Amino acid sequence: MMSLLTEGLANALQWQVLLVIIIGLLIGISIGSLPGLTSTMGVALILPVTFGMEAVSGILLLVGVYFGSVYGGSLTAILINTPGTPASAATALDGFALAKRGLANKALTVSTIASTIGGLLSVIVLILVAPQLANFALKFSAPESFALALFGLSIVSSISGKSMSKGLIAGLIGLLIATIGLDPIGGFPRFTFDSMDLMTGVNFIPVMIGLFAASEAFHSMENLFSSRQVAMKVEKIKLKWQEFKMLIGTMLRSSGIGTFIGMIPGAGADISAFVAYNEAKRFSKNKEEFGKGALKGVAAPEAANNSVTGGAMIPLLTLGIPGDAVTAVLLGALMVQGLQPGPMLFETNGPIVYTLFVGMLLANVFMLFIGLAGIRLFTKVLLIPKAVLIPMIIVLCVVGSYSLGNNYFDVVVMFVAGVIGYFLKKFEFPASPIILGLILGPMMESNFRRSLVMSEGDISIFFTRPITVVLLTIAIITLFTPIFKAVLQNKRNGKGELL
Amino acid sequence: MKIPNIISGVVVIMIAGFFYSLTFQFPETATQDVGPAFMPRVYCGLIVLLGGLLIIQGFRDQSKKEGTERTIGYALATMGFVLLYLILIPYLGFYLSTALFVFALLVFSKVRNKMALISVSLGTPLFIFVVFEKLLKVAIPLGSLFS
Repeated sequence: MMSLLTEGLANALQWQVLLVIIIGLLIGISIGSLPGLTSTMGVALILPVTFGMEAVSGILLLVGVYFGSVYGGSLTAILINTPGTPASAATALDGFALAKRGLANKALTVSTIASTIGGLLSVIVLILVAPQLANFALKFSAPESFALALFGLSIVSSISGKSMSKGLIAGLIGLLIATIGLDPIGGFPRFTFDSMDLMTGVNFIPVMIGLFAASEAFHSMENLFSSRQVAMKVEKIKLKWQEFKMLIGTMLRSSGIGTFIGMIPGAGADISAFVAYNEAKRFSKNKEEFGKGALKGVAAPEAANNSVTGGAMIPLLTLGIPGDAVTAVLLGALMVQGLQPGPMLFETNGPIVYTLFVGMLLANVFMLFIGLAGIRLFTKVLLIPKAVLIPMIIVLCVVGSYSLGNNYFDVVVMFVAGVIGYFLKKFEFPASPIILGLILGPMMESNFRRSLVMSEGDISIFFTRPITVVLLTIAIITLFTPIFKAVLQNKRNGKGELL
Repeated sequence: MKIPNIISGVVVIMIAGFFYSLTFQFPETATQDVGPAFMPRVYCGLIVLLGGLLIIQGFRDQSKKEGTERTIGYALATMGFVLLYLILIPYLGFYLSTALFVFALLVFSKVRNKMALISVSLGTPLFIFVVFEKLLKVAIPLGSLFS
């Protein structure tokens, strides 16, 4: 592993690569600090730019955008009490309270340091854990892969938001769209309506750009006339070493929480931030300080939401299972570059994987410097009016989906997905399950059918292999736990409503 | 009663039913394989089940009606603009269509500052040209009018 790491270090320490990481971070921080533009949208918008790039540079550009946007979301959370991304909602609680007292500078410094520590620790865990997990997953055959895909899909119930049935329907629609095109075993064209373009199936990248970026643009158009500008006084009060020492424990604990939650598919940065905030409050001696401007209340969610980044990479790279929408986009980016995420990735593309690891470490270090040096410059992004941003986002969606394969059909797919995405949101359907279904559908179906061919049609193949049984059990538990919880809660509220 | 849930339940059931009916054209395969129609049928069946649940929920929901939004017109109009833009690209080419689209959308969102109107509608295609065509070597369609 050491030799691979040094090789990765040598590959990453080229000026082009370093530049790409920095550009990615700058774009990410700008996007993240714009309320309404999430990490997912940022990564989806920048994704097409990477098609023409080398694998390492392209992926690291996206990694930079991803890391930067998670961090950037906290800037506006602290300065104007508007979390740029849902992940920084917890940061706003104490961050804005500090800013109101004129201590924005201090809060921003804590957020920067905590983010860096969280990010760094999670990448270190990633480097240590991922290869072992990949090694284990190498033994997987068709039934295990089927169970794994089902497990990946089972997280739909925990990312469904308000209505479980709507989330499940969205996931199933994604699965159904995934069946369009040639059938994976017999090669029979399904649901193609005699269209040549549909023969190869619906590409999930334009769908993703449409669902996450274009539909948001349509939505922003509605809210265009309700935006507001807030001015804030920032005094130059710096963080003292003494104060920093008090925060180290909180940062480390929160990083651990974040990394662990990040590893679980379906639980994302927003959840980890709130869990870490809660834990920091529980461990604190003066709990009443929280909510009124506690530095620990900034450090905890920031360390946690950034440490999710490294944790979320573990199932993505080793098993090929994206834990949330951002990692789903990253999965697409890897596949476009010819890097199929999964256990084989470490065998076939070891040097590239380790270069990515080193790049992620560097991205976190750069974030520290960028953050400490120019944090307040980024808040200037907020001065760009939404009216100007929206047409630019739509144009980027169009060019982006076109450049995927110089195919105008992909642009049409993007637009249709954007319109559908808009109405899904109106009817309170979550969009991420569709992507999950679209990505994992083919993996599930082909491995399901391959298993049955292996066992000559005997269904018991899924109940006699130990790893398959364990994975299927976890999948069932993951799928039904939130449903049971919801039912219990409704009973307690006396509503008696199912799902 | 929550009307949106009932509507969406009916819509997804109709979609699933339509796809289900199409699976009857799929061939049966060897006995070992479940065949190309199996999975789509499972998905459609589950969608119908959950869609039905959604409709029942919609009828049983006792929460008050939410205020109807009139702003949906803005979004629909934006989609109309995009549709027009996508129709224009094959004829006028990407760059000219983009400039027109951005300009139109800015005017629609009540941007009246002349400098902003001109710089953004010309700057956006220029940015695409530099980043995508020059740096990333994407072949941007020029349109039948110019080629």
